[in-house]
Amino acid sequence: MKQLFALNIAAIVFALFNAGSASAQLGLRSGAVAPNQSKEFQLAAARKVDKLVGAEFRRKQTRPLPKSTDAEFLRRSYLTAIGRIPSYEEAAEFLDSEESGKRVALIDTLIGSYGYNMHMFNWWADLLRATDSFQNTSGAPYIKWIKDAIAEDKPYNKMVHELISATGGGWQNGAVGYYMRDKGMLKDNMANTTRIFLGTRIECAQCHNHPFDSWKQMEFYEMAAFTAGMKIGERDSFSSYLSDKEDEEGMDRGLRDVSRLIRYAVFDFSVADAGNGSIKLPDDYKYRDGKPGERVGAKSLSGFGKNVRVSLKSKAKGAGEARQEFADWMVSPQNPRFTKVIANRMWKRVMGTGLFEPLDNFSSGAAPSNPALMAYLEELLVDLNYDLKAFQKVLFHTYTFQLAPSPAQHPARSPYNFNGRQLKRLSAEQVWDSLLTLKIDKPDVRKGNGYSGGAIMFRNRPVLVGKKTMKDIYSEVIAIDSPAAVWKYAENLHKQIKGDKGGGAKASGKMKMEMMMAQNARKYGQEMRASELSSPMPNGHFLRQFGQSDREVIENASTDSDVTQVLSILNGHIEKQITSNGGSKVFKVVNDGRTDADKIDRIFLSILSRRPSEGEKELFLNEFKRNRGAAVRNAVSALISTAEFMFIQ
Amino acid sequence: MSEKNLFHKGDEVSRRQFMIGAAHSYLGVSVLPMLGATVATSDTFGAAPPMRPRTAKSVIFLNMSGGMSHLDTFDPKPENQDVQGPTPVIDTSADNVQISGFLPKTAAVMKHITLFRGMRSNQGAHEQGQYLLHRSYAPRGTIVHPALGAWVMRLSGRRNTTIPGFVAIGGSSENATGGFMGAKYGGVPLGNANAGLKDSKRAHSVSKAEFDHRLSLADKMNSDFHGRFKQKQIKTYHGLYDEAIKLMTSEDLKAFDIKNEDSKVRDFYGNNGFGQGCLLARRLVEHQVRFVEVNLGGWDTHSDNFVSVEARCQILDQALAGLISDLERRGMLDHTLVALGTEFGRTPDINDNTGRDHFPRAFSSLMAGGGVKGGFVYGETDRKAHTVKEGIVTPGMFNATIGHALGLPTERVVTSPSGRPFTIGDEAKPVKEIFA
Repeated sequence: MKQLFALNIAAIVFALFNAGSASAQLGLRSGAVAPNQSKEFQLAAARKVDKLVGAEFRRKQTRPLPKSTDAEFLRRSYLTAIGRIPSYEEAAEFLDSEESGKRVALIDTLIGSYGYNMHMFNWWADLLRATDSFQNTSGAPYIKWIKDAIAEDKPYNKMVHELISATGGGWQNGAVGYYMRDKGMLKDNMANTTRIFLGTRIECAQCHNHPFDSWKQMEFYEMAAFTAGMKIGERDSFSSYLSDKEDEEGMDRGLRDVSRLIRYAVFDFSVADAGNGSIKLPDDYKYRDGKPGERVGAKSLSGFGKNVRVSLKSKAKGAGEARQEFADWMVSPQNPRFTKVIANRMWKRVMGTGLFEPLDNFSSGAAPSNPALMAYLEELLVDLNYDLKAFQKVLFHTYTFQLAPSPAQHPARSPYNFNGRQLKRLSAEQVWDSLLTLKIDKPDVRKGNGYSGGAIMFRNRPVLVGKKTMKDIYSEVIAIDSPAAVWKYAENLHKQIKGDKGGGAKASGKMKMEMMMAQNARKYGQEMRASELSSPMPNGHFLRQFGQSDREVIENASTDSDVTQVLSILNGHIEKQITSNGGSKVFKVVNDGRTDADKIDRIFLSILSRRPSEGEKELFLNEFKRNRGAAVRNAVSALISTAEFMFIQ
Repeated sequence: MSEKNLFHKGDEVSRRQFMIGAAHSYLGVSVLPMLGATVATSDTFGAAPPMRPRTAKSVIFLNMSGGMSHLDTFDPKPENQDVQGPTPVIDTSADNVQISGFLPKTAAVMKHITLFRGMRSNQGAHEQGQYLLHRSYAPRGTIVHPALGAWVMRLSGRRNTTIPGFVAIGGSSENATGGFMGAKYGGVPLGNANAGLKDSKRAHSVSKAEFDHRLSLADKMNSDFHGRFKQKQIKTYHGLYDEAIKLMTSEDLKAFDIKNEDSKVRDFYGNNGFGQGCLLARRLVEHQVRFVEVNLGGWDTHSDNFVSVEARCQILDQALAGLISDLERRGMLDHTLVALGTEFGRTPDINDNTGRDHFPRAFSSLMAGGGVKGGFVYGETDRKAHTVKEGIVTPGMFNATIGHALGLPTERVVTSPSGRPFTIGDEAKPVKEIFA
């Protein structure tokens, strides 16, 4: 009897999950012209996703949780889509709105905002291990390349192809940062490539046949052959000539630094193709399928669509051709794993838990918790031409995303049915960016890291603004055919820099904007979103303390809580920057409150994105009566110290 | 229970009191992650093998970053002036052991020291060499290996559960990384010996009463949330607030404050960053901190080697000899292992700038106390300190030897989250001959 009742209730909610399924069918089959831009398509796709999630509930006779409250939806959407809590104004506006379509409208606004790009950058930087510098070389062009790709919404398959096939100088093509990152470690780079884009871990097979998985050392070497021989950095003789000149007795320090700038930015920072798609097996190779030191041709991993291989006999392969073929194979529609992995990554990004986990170890044993849903998501992503923004928008528009938070904690890495979002501690960047929202107005405006891309930074100052860019230096130097002439160029450039009286009258609009962004870092210090600060921040910084990835290893961020974080909240950064900082935004908002009750409302909306319950209101009204002077500070501190603040629901 | 009821229960119910109890009952132990685990975790491959008998309870690791010249410190070659250069050589308190004349105080305590003269590394650049020295593995693009201190935390845990078990003073904070083991096994990096434990004191802007009051407000807020989400992660998060308060009020916190030391004692170690770091290390070990690293940089003597090394040695000599004799006087030396390491040595050939360049093929390190032999030399280089004749010790072996002194199972395999197997010394065996 009891169960029957439960099923009846469930049936009502299933109806919600199924609403609009007919139009979903229509929407999916139509859409000849840019289907992903149409609202109908997105909403229909969202309903289809819900139906597939709902089918799983029905199969397991699970009673769905109720829909989230507006406040839960608001905070979850902001944190998930743009990486921070809503400001007081944003929260009040949404909660006070009586528009029936306000949830759909909020998602559209958030995903179209710059905050989305900022939050998305953190995700990419963790995945690609994008850092500010690779040894001596600036990582700025790579970071800018990633940020630009996000801003122009470059399709994922195109983006990956550009990364894997990247050639040229870093200041011409920032994508070469993908290989610069692993200079001298191309085999590790290949292991990373298969892990990131194919959800497959083959690094063990670098040294021996994989003990648990089926990968053989031969297969690893065949994969590594695609990028083997590729040269990072070029014209070593030029580089060493300059280096010797720099070390000459009594060398002018300014000129020495100019020469270094040229060396690092031009000769060291480039990817040249020399590989022909073959590699030598290691000298201690011990398996019967090859001999130590034997040369083998490139071959793609089996089981990932149509194989590509490079025969040792065909000398026809030009330099770098093998790598192009590898890139083509990687993103090919016939390589289904490529789509599956990114669809699952995006699902996890929006829903909090993957359809299969771990995301990057899709070994033979693992299966998605909901295969029909997985299959549809793959189909949808292809339909959307790998537009990650449009894909995420669909997921944000689902009813699944809007379910109330799950009261129970689901065991990690076991299949989840997505009946309510799992509580999760905010990422380091979400904590930082949320605190910034309490500290300053309009937190998403200031742009920093990566956008000094074109400017020549000499001794930490921009020089020759509007006259010359790093790109200019690159193309001018690369055209010079003798080391001595490059040294002459360095001498000239040094003179120009010394004689530079600023100005920049001829600076283009774009260039001016980039200059401004470069200067923001100095102007605003660390009062910028995490995505605009150094990547990563140095060890010991608040962001690292809260688990920001070191960006040395793929997705190395942590959301574990520890006692030093609590100390930072109680006695350190948060106390100093927010709670005892009368100039911070939250205090301005509160001071505009007319009554104590209004002030308490404003504190709650600012920090927890909701209004207080009756009990809470009473608690804090008492607080205001008892502690006139310190009440606001105490309330701000108390609310930030709650688990409710630190967890996304 | 309605939220109203909860709020009306009044102040007499101490939520915090409840939570302290809860942390114990739910989590089994009182945890202080990040500052080092409390208990050793069991082996991923089944039951933990028994711990070895240990000769040391704590380790003070002195990191000579930049590449310490072996010829001008612990492996002089007075019979070969062309490689020895102007560095003088002196006898020590140990029979037949001579070291650099730049280290007279160390010479006097040589009877407590085992020298390793056969160190060998395969990394010739600083960053990679320091990485290997601290982690026993060469850097790779697919994993971050844990530092030695993190291994020690993982395999043996903290001795004192109210304060961190692994502290790194000065130097790169990377030396304190937990690597793939996670932040909970990592160390607490201190910028310098005077820095104290970050954020462990109440901010000046808050009075004690106000501080407590805020916590009680937060407790009341939390009780409702916690009632709604009865989850382990939420309980753990609340428990951390108790841990934080426990730390802030811990008697042992004063270990971090070297100002409590008499000025004579402070001078005894040398009034410089490294000397004071060694003093702090001694204080921390007195309070049962398991692993302390102290950094002394400036060894990268590509030019003016002899002037620079002499200056470095003045600092090292006073601090090292001071530390060893202070530990001995306090009866701590027999259970405290002092280890000194560097990423590589320097070329026996003196270059055009009277300097020495990087030389990973042969160099020196040492250990003292913690059960090692005194006045003992392990390993030997050829007559020009150019290669190791016998007794090669790699950074992995060095680290395994430290683990051995602590009674750790050096062959214990710890798997990374990605399923890769690692050991404390990259499968290297400890050098057992050096133990008394």
